[in-house]
Amino acid sequence: MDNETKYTEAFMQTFDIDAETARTLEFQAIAAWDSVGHMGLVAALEEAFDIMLEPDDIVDMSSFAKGKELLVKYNIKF
Amino acid sequence: MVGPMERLRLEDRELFRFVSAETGTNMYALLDYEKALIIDPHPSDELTRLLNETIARACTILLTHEHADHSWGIRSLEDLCQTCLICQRHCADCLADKKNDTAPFVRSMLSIQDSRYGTNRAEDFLNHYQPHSYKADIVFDQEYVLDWGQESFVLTHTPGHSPGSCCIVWNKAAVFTGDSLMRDEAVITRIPGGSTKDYQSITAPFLNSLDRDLVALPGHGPYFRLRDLAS
Repeated sequence: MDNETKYTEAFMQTFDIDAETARTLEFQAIAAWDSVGHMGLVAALEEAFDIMLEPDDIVDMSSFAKGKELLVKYNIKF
Repeated sequence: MVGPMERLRLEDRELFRFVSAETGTNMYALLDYEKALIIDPHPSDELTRLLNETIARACTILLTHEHADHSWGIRSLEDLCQTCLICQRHCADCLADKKNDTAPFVRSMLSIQDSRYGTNRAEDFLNHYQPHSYKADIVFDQEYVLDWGQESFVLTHTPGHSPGSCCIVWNKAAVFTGDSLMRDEAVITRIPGGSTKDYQSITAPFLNSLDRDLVALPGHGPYFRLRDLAS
């Protein structure tokens, strides 16, 4: 599975949404992506990519797009 | 690590409450001559000092659930005295393998709180936390009754916040509720391992069945009487 698919699926499974919705999603744009949902997303991404996000990056992950930018720091290529 | 310590008087017993500076979690301790009973241990210089002063040689540890902020003090107690760890089976299974470490989840939660309140708890927690695996000495499924000296504890499986959560009724006077019931915070079930269905079908009815005069001693925040909460 390529990284783009893994990344998108983390959003889909965490928030129970389709891929199209995931790709334009922002924090708090849907009820499921609140602070609690955010923790679930972080857990899903860390497990999917076998990484541990820095606290600042956890907080900065404010959208699908932003998250991809942040993961580049962890050598995740899209 | 040093956090505030509070002495509580419940009926004719003295209970110690320690609040973790890193995670805000409550740890509770009962002392009885040369033995201690600790609920949800976190590392604490004050607890260590207290145990040394009372020459406690044996320590029974009860866990309300498996999350790292409620269990990360087990290792320091093992280094200090002979321990007996008691918890629900799912909790035991989680703790038995370091791969199940829930510290990343705790760290995420603390990071979000830090961004809100301008604190630095996530980094403090990471700086002090080390993953360990633990083998529980006594594991139960639905319920376990512990007679500890003059005290009686009934541990009941209350899933929802986590698979291995339990509530612990003490002498029919108080109940340690972990993260399954708190006064000022909503119970979180929408997390990995959490189950809103289990909480609603198993845990909520159990909590509602308890005597409303019981003092609830939660995993976070202040204690309260059950009757002070709306059901």
